[in-house]
Amino acid sequence: MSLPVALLFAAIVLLLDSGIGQFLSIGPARPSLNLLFVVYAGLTRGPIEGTLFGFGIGFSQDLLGGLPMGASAFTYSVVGFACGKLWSEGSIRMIWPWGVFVLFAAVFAEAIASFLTAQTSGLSFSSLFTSAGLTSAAYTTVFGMLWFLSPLHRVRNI
Amino acid sequence: MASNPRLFNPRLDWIVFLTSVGLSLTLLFFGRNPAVASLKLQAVEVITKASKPLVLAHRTLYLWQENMRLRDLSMALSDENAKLRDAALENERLRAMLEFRARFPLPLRSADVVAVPGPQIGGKLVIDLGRADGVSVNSAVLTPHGLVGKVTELSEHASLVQSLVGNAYGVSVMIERSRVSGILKWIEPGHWAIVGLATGEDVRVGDLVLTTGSGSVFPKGIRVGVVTEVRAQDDLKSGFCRVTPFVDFSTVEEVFVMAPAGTLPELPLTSEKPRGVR
Repeated sequence: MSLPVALLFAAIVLLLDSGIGQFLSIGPARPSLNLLFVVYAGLTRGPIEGTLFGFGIGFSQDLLGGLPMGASAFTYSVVGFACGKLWSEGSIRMIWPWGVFVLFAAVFAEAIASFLTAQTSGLSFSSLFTSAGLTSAAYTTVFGMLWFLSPLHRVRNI
Repeated sequence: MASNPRLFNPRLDWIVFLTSVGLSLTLLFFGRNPAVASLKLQAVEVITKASKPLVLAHRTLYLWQENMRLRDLSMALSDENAKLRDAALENERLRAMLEFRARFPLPLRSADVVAVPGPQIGGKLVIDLGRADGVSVNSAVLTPHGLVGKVTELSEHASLVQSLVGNAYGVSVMIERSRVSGILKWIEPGHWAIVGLATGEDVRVGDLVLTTGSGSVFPKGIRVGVVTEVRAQDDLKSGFCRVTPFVDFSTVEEVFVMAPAGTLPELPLTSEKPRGVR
């Protein structure tokens, strides 16, 4: 995937996440399409572009979302960088490494989001994280694995 | 792997990472700047416009799915409603038949109409009782509402009934109130008349019409219909008074069959007002 195509994909994912993401929610859980893209970008393009994509998408999400400015940018920068650093040939070729990467990234992102939400709302971090954070992380992981198994992912790999 | 960009200049990735993190944390701690807030509002504006078609597409899809679901539901409910309505009507008919049977003094056998052969104006019905069930030619056929006709042909387990439709025979009838008698004939689709009445006979609109029992076919006192029109002149061809039967012959589904009049006692005359007038 060339850089312009990757940027186009990033824009589309951002648009999809903000446009129809809420329709995918089940109870308090909602999959993060943005996070999936950042993990994918980190794994396929390395730590530099992973970080830059993470920061860009996170910043865009912060401009739109309920989290304080910079929170998502920070989270996704770390995720993109970590995925780029931990990359190996098999990580994006097989489903289980991909699933594990997504799960860890999602748990990390949800922990940050729960922490910041708990700070601003006065609610308990643990209850927020267990009730919404972990379920959202699991949902994002399942969603990511479904995408991995879908023809969309296979076609792009061809 | 030397050509792999991720291994190119290994320090650059850390620089990019730390810069991004630093910028993020700066935004996080100092992001309440009015300029940042303004930028946020503009971004929301842009993304709102950009995602509108997506939301519209999703809503259209949702509406389409909901429409399909509601259509299926509507079909199922319509089907269920039709069944329930049919059951209610059947229940009403059967209840009326049970009540009729309980208060009717003559022995009756219930039968189902299993076929309506030929054209509607032929007035033929096939019922599921025959010779084996004690039915004979000229057995009277009736419903709780009134006289339907008589059996004209029969086999072991089925009978052909000629209703009052079709002018195949005349029925000797009388006006319940004045005891004036005449012959009931089918004069055209949907219309019957009593012929053979002299001018000045006491017949009024609304009079109840009963069988007389003469002719040994229909027992005396079976309700037939109600007078709906009385003409001043005595015109035997067109009919002196029109009668509307109580039975709607096109919708008969269950009937009673009774033995010919010659084998049965007379029915007590009733002054009960007719019901179910079409």
